[in-house]
Amino acid sequence: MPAQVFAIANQKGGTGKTTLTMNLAAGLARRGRTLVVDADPQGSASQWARLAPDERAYPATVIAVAGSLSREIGRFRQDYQYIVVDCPPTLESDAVRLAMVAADRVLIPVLPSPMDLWASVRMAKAVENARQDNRNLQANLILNQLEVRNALSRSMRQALAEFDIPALKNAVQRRAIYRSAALEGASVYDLANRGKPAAEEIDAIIEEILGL
Amino acid sequence: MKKLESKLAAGVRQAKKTQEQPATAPASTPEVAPQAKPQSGQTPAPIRDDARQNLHPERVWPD
Repeated sequence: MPAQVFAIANQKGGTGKTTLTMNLAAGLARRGRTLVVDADPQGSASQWARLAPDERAYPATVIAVAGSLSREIGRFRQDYQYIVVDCPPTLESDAVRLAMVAADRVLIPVLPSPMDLWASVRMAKAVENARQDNRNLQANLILNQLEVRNALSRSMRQALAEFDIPALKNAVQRRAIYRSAALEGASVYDLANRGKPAAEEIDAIIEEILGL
Repeated sequence: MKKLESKLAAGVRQAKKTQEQPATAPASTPEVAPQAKPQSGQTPAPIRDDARQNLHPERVWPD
């Protein structure tokens, strides 16, 4: 069965694409063979995996792709159960469009800040354009770095309803453990009890997207 | 809380509206008055709509 392909994209930088990619892929790797495609020239996903110590390798394969994204994803579709593509923070290059054309679902992380929310409107248009070449493309917004006690964070749900793209029910909370995981080249699943609440929320997101 | 929600939502609607508008307004072509043909022996009038040929509009010919 060919792999399910998830593109993690937002043209806005700093929305947590790589953090989501690496933790989502680690969670998916517990369910089946998973590949991370690092399509961002900054190479953050590749660097993350390189930081993992020899005794505890990052649980998914990570490859950097600079050439034809569609061809590379196509090449690995039969070998993996899940492919997660970490997209660059721009709509100017062709990489995001190609990732969305190859993907089954695009996840758009949005921070609970007005500027990030409003800038994400451009992604809705990009998804619409990608659907001309991939009419089965599914898309979801996902709230990232949510602060449960913050009024702005709580107000985001209502604002997300203004988008033509549905938001996932589950969100990623703002937690220092995500930054620690990056430093250790690990996922939140590798950090035992420290990472448990974060691992549970990533699991909830995975269950939600696999069940959609 | 309600106020925050409506401000955020209004921003999204505004961003959508901005996106739907064309990036630049169509440029209107300014009407150019026809140049009068100089009679023989007269200094031609400076060409007023060509920046490169009109560097010194008051001194079209060298002294």
